[in-house]
Amino acid sequence: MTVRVVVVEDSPVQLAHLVDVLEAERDIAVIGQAGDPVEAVALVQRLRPDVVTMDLGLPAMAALGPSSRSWPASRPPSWCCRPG
Amino acid sequence: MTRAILLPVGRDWYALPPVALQEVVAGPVVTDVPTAPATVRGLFNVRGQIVPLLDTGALLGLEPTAACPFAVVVQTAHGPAGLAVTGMPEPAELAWLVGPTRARGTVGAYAAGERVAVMLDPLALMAQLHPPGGR
Amino acid sequence: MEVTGQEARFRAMFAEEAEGRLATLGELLLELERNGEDQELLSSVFREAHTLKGAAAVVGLADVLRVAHAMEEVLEGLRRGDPATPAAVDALLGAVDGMREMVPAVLAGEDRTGHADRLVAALHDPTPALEPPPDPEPAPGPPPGPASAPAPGPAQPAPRRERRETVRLRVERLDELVRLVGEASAAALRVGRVVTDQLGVEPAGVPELHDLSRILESLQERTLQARMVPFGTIAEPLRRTARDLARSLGKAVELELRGQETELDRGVLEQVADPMLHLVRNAIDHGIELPEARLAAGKPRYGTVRVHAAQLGSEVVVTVADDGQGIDLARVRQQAGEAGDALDGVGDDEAIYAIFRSGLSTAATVSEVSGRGVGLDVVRASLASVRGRVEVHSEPGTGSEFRLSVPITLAVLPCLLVEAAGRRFGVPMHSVVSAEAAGWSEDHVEGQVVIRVRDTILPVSDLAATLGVTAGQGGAPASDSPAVVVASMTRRHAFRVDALLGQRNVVVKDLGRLLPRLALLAGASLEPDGSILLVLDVSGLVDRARSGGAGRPAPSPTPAVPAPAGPASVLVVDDTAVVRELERSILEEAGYRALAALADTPADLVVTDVEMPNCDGLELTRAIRGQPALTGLPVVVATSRFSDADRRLAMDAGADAYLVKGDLDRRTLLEVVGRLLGRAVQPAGGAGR
Repeated sequence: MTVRVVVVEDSPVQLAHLVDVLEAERDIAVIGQAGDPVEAVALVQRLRPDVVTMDLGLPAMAALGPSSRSWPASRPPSWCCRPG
Repeated sequence: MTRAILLPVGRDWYALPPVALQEVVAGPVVTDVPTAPATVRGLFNVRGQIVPLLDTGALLGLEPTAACPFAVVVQTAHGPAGLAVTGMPEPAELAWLVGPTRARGTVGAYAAGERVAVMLDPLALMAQLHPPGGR
Repeated sequence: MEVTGQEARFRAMFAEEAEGRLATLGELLLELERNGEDQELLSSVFREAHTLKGAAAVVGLADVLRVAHAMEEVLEGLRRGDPATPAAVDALLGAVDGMREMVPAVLAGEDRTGHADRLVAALHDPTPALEPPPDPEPAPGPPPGPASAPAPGPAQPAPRRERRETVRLRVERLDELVRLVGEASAAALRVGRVVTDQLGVEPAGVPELHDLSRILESLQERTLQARMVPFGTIAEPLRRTARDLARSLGKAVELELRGQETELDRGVLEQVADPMLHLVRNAIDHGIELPEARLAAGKPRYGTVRVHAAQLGSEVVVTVADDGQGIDLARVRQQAGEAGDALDGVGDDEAIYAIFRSGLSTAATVSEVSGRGVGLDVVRASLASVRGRVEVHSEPGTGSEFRLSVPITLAVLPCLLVEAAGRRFGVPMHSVVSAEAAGWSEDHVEGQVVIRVRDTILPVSDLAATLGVTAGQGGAPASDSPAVVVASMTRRHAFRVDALLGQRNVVVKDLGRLLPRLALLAGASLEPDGSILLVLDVSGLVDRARSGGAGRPAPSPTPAVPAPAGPASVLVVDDTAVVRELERSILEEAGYRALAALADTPADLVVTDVEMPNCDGLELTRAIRGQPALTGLPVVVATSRFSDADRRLAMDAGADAYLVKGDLDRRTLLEVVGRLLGRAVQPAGGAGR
C-alpha cells in the first residue's frame, strides 16, 4: 500500500530535494507540496495524506505543529518531523 | 560560380548573397526623419515593423541615391534594415573575381554575365552609421 | 568537478533562493539594528538564516553552510538575550554581503574557504570597526522611550512577507510576450485594411473585427502591466547605502521611504535605481550636516532623507528631499565659471541645474564616496534614457529637494499630436506643460522672441524650423498658430505649430540600435493606417531651439568623403569682389577649393555675406536650410554687423557660425571653417609654411 505524503518546506531547494528523495521510494507517493504552514493546512484538509513532513525547528511551523487545532480531527496524519 | 542577387544603385551594380536578403519592397513609403544624417533616408513600414531605410549610395561614399523605387531588406545584428536601390534586383551567377575594391562595406568586384558587380558586406556597410568615437 | 543534470537543477534553484533570502536578510538586519529586542523580528531573521543553511546543505556548499550556521549561532544568542550591538549587526550584515558574493562564485567552482573562515571569525568575535555611531534612537520628535518600544514616526514596520500566488518568469519571456502582442495588433490592423479593400466595409463596422481589436487592446494593456514592479524593489539597496554612508561619515541620518507599492515598468525602475542611489548619497554626503553642526543650527541631531514615490497621471514622481544645509549656489556659480561655463545672467532657478554638469562638485573636499559630483551627471543621463526629468529646489540652511519624474511605462506613451509643416509629430505628454490655442502675443526681449503664457515669459520657436522641416505652403502668421509649451529636463520652451491634433496613447518603438542616436527623436510608432508617426525627444528639441534655431543636424559621419579626403569645397558668397577674393585666397591657400556657385559642384561649406543687393545672405541661409539635400551643409555668415540681434537673426536663419568682418583675419576664418568641417586648422600644405 502506498504511503501518501504531503511535504511542507519553505525552502524551494529543500522541498525539491525532499520530494526527490521520497519519490525515489517505490511505496511512497508525494501527493502535495506546501511552502508554508497555512498552505499546508489547506492541503492536508483537502488531500488527507497519511504522512506530513515538516521542519519543526522553525518557530512558525512549531505553532502549527501536531498539537495545533488546525489539523483535521478525524484521521489525523502521522507526523514526521525533521530536526532543524 | 556563386549565386547572388544584383542590386542596381545608380549606374552601378552591387551584389548580395541570396541568404542575406530578407525581402524586396517595391515603392516603399518613406517617412523622412528630420536631423538624420544623409545616410538615413527615413523609416518605412515592413509588415508591421518600423525599419530604417538607408541610402546605399551615401553609405558607400558616393552620391546619395536619387529615387528609391525599391528597398532591399537585410537582417543585421540589430534588426532589419532597408537599403535603397534604384531598380528591381535580379538574380545572377557570379563568375570570377575581377579585383579588390576599396570602399568600406564592399568585398571585391565580380563578373556577373556582362556586368561587373561589387559584392557588399551589409554589416561593414552599416558600421559606418556609428563612427568610432563619434556620436 | 562534474555536475549531473539533477544537481545542476538544484544548484540553479539554490542560486535563486539564496538571492532572495539574502536580500530579505539584509532588510531585516537593518531593521534589527533599530529594534534589537523585537522577538518577532529576531525569529524572522533566524528563520531566514536557518532555511538558507538547510538549502545550502542540500546542494553541498560547505562554505556557505558554515557561514549560515555561524549566523544562526549569533542569532540564537540574540534571542536568548545577548545585546544586539552595532558590531554584532555589522558582522551579520558582513556575512550577508559575503555570501552574496560567495554563492555565485562557489557555484562556478571557485574556492571561497578563506573568505568563509574570515566571515565566521568575524561573527564569533565581532569587533567594532568604526566608531560607535550616535546612539540608535529611533527618530526625532516624540521623546525616545525605552529601546524596546516600537519605533514611532518615520521608522518602517518590519516587512511582512505577503502571501501571494506567484510564478517566476524570465524577463526575456515576458518581453517576448509583449512583442508578440504588439505584432498581433499590427496584424489585426492589416486584416482591417484587407477588409476595407476587398469588402469595401469599414473595419469598425464589422463586429468580429471590432471585438478582436478590443480584446487585443486589453491584452496589450495586461501584458504591459505584467512588466510592472513596485518601487519598493529598490528599498533595500537604498537603506543599506544610507546606513553605511551615514556611519562612515559620522552623521546621524534617518531614511524615510514612502510609496513603495507604487508600480512602474521594470525597465524604467532599473534606470532610476542608480540615480536614486546617487541622490541619496549626495543628500547624506553634501546635504545633511554633522550632528554637532545641526544642533548648533537648532536642528534635531538626526537628519532626515525622505524618499517618496507616487503616481501622478502617467508618471511616477519620486522625491528625494533632505533637511540639510541646501545647495550652495554661490559655489555652483563659482565652479561653473571656473569650468569655463559661466552662469552670468542666468537666474537662480536655472543656475541650480548646473550641478548636473560633470566636473562640478559642491563639496569642499572631494570625498571618496561621492567623488567630483560625477553622480549627478549620471543621474541626468540615466533619466534622459527613460525620457524622465528632474527638478531641483533648495533653500540654504533648510534643505534640498530633487523631484524625478519618469513615465510609468515606456512602451505606451500618451502623446500630444501636433502638425508642423504638413507633418504630424507626437510630443510625449509628460513633457508637455500646456497647449495654447492661437491668439497669444509675441514679444522681443534681448533679441529673443518670447511669448507670455499666464505669468511666465517663455522663449518661442517654430517647431518646423527647429526640426529643419520645410513648410508645405506659406506658413500661417505667427500669432495665429497654436503653441505647445514643453519642459525639458531643466527648462521650458514654447513651440509654434500649425495645429493641435489631440491626444493619443502611442506605442513607441525605439528607433533601434542600428541608427545613430538622434537627439531630437525619442522613437517612432506605427499609426493605424500604416504610416509612421515620429515621436519627439523634448530635451533634444529644446536644446536645439535654445542653441541657435535650425542648425545642422547632429554631427554625423560625413560618409561622402572616405579617409584620405580630397580638398573640401567651400562656396564663398559676397557681393564685394575684394572680400570674395580675400576669403578665396585664404581658403585656397589652406587647401580648400573655392567654388563660384553651388549648382556646379556640391560644396562642403558656405561662407556668405549678409547684406548684398541681389541676394540677402540670410535668405540664402534659410534657403539652404530648407533644402533637404543640404541640411548637413555648414553655413558661416560673415558680416560687418556685430550686434547681438543680428547674430540672433543669423542663427535663427540657420547659420552655424557668425563672423564679424572687422576681424576677418586668416586664423579666425580657418578656425571656424575647420571646426565646422571637423578638420585640423593647419593648411593642407603642412604646418611648415
